[in-house]
Amino acid sequence: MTRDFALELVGVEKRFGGVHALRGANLEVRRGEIMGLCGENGAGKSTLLKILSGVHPFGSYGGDVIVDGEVRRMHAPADARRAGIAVIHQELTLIPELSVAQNLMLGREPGRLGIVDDAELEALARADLARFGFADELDVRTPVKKLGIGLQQIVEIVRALPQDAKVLVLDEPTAALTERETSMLTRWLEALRAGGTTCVYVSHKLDEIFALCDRVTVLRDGRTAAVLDIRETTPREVVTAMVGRDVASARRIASSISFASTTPVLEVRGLHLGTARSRVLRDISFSLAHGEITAICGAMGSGRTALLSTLFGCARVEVSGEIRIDGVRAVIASPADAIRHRIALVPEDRKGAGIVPDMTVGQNLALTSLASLDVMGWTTRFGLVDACAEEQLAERHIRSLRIHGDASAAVVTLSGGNQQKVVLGKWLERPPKILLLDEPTRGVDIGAREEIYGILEELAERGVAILVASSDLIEVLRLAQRILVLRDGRIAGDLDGATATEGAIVELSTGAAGHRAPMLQVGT
Amino acid sequence: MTQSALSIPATRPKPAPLRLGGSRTLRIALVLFALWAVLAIHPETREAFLTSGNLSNLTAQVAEIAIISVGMTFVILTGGIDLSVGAAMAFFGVIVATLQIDHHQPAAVAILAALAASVVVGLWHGVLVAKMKIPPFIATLSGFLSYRGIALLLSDARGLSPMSADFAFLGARISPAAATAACIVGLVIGVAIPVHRYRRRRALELPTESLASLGGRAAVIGLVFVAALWVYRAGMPFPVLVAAIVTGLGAFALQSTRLGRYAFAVGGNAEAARLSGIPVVRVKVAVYAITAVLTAVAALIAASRTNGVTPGNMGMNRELDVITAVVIGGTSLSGGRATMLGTLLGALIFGTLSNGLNLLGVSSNWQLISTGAILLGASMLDSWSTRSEAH
Repeated sequence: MTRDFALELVGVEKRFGGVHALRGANLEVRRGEIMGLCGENGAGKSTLLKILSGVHPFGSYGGDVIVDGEVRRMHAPADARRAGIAVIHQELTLIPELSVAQNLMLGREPGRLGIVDDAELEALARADLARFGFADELDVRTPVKKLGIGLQQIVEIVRALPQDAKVLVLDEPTAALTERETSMLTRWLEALRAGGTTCVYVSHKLDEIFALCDRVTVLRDGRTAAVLDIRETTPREVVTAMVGRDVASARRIASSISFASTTPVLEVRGLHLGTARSRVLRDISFSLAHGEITAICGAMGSGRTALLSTLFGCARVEVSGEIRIDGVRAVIASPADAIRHRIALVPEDRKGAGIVPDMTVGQNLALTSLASLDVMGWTTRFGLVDACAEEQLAERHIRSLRIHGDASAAVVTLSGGNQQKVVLGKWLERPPKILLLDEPTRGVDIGAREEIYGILEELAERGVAILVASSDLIEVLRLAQRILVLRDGRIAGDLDGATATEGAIVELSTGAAGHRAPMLQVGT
Repeated sequence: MTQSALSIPATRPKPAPLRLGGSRTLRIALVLFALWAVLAIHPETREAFLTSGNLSNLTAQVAEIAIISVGMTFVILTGGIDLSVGAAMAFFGVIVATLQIDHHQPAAVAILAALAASVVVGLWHGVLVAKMKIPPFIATLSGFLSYRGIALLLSDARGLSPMSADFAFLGARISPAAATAACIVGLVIGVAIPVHRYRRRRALELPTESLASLGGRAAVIGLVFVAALWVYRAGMPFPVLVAAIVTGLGAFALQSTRLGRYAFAVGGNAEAARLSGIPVVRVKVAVYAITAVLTAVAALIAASRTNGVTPGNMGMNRELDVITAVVIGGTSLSGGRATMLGTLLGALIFGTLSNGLNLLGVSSNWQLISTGAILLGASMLDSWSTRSEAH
């Protein structure tokens, strides 16, 4: 083949039992370009990446992987690395108990006779971080588990990026990153491109693809649906290629219809979280009205997740302040308390806290409703599970939420977006009064994302008060009637969703002048 | 979106739902049948193995392990482990024996006392693990060490025997007529449940099992029924009846109760379970309590069968036998995956190995080695198939 391509995939096919995940997909990445890769859930992106990273060994798929004009047969992830393909997966692969430095140097610890030279290790890790301009931001001795997901992602990227990579493949690298972190990463990738690195950038966020990439490859149903030059295409054209039909791009004008309710459904007054020495949240006061979608923005570590988990009774440190539900003072000391007050939470960490992976879709959907599920009229009293009622419930939610997957399928076989619908769906049998969502569309593709927004809007119309913590400003502006901006555990601003701008949110969350954004060094 | 996101479109047909862990259980059953086939054909065992007397003995020997395994399946399903069951057997055995022998209490009182003690022990384990967050391995290892010590203290380290006459029924046989009746009840329940499920699903317009599969299921149950009639035609060991009831109830609890479902959730993803409002602490306490009570039941049966209690070695290594049976049965030691049928098959495989190797006149050293090999084989098969399922 031609020598211009750093990476080529030719006619790649892959089956999982009866599922034909890839049906002859092609990808050609020119040397020194950033190639965007997008497609809806189930289009075959993940499978493609697993072939690229050697997770699906040579022989289990059809077609060729060609790096620098040479057909490579990769039997294991180590072979992919040797071939010069560095894949950075969406799911974090860090070891939580180990420090940043230990994680960064995992598998290549310096030292002799199996004795690790800790000082050297720290120095090397520091140097690695310095390539990203993070040496001052992050103490390499911090255990990874103490970092927020955004910072963990950065450690992950730094770790997975060897100096001699020929092709860098990023899978949704910004899914959990804040605006600030995202722009940092984007600038760094541009610098790398200027230095001649080839990159495949998988993302659901079209704005990022348009800001960063030279070309974009669109997958649909396991095939390459389009290869478009960014300078000559439009987001709409990309979306059309993804879904296979023309979709009107919708930006909902946040409706200002307010439920003329007398008492707010949720009222928070003077909420503090943490000890006097380390405050996570300080003096948080706000209220939620029936049918209102409120967003919480803020940088990583500003207290978004902490606020939601406190409202759901998951605080592990000291809490003070007052929470009123429908005007009545409520004590929420555990998730069970919160559920009794009809609060529901869709957590940030879908895999770790949302789904039960060994269970089926149906069982996951019914998990919160077993005690009230009863077709026969007596079963639940004896602690029995009515499997038929469970399945009827599951079928109902699978249809209404348009979950692509059977009730009897293992939930892990679903795509991210559909798993997220399952996590949301398990609360909908008896719709909550207050629905808390933490990064509800992290790792979810555009189609499913719109569907989730639609579900949330419909719930809001029915009077559910919705509180969404999100680092995706487009999402926030798309959804919210009201935006609370957090900074360092305080509410820094309270904006009207209809008039707010990205600039205003960023300004409030970064604290206008005071804070220094970490600078990027051009490493090449 | 144009259409209401929460509306309900028309029903669409769906394939029949999968039961938790179907094919894995089938594999375990094939291993068991392969073992039986070998023993039925091998020149040195074919005379002795496939006799109703031998099979009746085999199942009677397996009964103790099978009973405790039901509880252990729940514990391991939640991601825990109970290492104390062997030592606890000695503890409960000493309680029931000293009350009868030293304090001249009737068997019923002694039995109730042992069961009450087991409830306390089980709740204690549950509180240690679920409330005080002590790792299950440590919490029950402490029991493993201390219960045998307590048993030796309570009995002054002497063998206790004989048990009173009204205690003998636990290890005895029930009459052929009663055995036949028990088999028939088992058959009726075994057929009624799938038929009821089938009819109910039809009535609710849910996708149903195919008639062929239903028929296959009925055929298997019928076969087991005929085999049981033949094996127990001279009467059924009471421990077998207890084991059958316990396993049946255990399977039902696992499949069809909230406790069972919550145990799957806690073992599969404890954080997701907690955030779904599942009473994680109560579930954990319950599984340890169930295990302790079933351990007491096994201890009672053992004490009755041997007509006495030797606190120094009663239940010795039982925890490992039970864990072996559960793991052979396909329950994942990391939690979240279990079937009760698998556990029963695991216990039968375990019992068949020692029975068959005994018949072959092989030393117990080789029995240990072959049990180890089967355990390893089962785990390897399992990890291999799990990997191929995950592509």
